[in-house]
Amino acid sequence: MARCVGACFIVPPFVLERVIRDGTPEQREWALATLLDDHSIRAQRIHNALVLRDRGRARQPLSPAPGGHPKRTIYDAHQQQDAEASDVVRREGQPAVGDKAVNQAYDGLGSTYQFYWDVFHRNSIDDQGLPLDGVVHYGDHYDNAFWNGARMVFGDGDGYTLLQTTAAIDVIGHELTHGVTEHTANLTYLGQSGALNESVSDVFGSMVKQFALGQTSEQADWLIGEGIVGPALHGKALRSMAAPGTAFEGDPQPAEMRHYVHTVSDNGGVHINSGIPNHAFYLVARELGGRSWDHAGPVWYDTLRDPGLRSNATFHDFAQVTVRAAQHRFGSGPVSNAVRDAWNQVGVTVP
Amino acid sequence: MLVRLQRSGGLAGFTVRSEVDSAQLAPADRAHLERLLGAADLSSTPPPTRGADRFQYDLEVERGGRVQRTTAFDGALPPGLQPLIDWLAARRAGGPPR
Ligand SMILES: [Zn+2]
Repeated sequence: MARCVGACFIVPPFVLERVIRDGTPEQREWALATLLDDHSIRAQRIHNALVLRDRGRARQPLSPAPGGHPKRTIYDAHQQQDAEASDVVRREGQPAVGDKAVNQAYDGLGSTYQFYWDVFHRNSIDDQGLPLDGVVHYGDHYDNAFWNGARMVFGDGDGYTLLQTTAAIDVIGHELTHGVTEHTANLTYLGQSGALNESVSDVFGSMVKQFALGQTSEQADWLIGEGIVGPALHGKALRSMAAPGTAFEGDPQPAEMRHYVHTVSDNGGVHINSGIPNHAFYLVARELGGRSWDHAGPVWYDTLRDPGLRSNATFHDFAQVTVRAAQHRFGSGPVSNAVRDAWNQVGVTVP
Repeated sequence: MLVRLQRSGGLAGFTVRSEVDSAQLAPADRAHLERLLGAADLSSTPPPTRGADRFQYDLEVERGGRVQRTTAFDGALPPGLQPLIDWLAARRAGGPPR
């Protein structure tokens, strides 16, 4: 397939836009010239970058921290259900400790930070260098991990359905991404917008794993939570983006809109219907081939930050913004076609 | 009296259910369940917590044809509900989580 996707840009446009926003006058001039030089970048994007730059200037006279380094703190809840645990067991830059869960959380948060920084030049959850606080050993045999609006919290698992939740890097990426979503599209955690919120966490969690392992879309397993499912689940993972509904015995995830599950459980099936947008992302990445974070990932990232994406977005709303985002970043061609085709394949019709 | 508890959501997103028929309980267990129910404030429903992947609990208490329903979220449970949830979860027969 002949395509002029990421390879067209020596410096990715979002990096240039950041330079326009935050750089010195000289850097800004260079970045603007580079952007204007590239016919595939629209005036709209330059305009947006300038607006953001001026808005940022008016609001905060100081330029943000340079970024590139996480600020991690890992806390031990000592089997109590205490997300505000105050016992610090490892701080940024400190060597590994004797507790595997602590090191897994520390490393996983570091890999996720690195992914967002290297690929999207995003400086942590809020893009302002927010410290990353992880809590391990939350609760007694607690079979869950969650984002509480400030911290990423990990249970040890019950050993039956779920094992130590820090053991899966994609799960750590999933939880951190809930923070990113909260600071960007802020998708309401209910119904379709909630399923999109969940899917975004799976999509970026999976990319964090692929990025860390250096895997292409073909090599990736596209599983969420591989390695942390207990014997009672009779499965290989919690979710499969390649084949939703096949991760474990009784996996309720649909892959297509016609199997959408209407329920009042699980905030309206947010962990169930996420299978549909998950599969759409997988189809885009597989169609384009190569590394998921080169083309499919940036389209989803732009979508998450698009001011036109409302908090209560439906699958259809989200799909429309992805197509537009693909056209903005990569022009009309293979990427935007792959995005449109993928949504149509899962039954979300986009013209 | 029938007490049904459903837990859904969480990172894994699968649903687990437990049901207790007080008529089938030993007297001491029945008394304990009544104490737990008496201590739980089932009329107050705090709003869902911030964040994501928290468990959702749906509790049904059926007495003499009347059903009382409560939905609550982990991290923002009504006062006294946690011990009842723990007791019901512990009585779950350890079957598959479906
Ligand atoms: Zn989640």
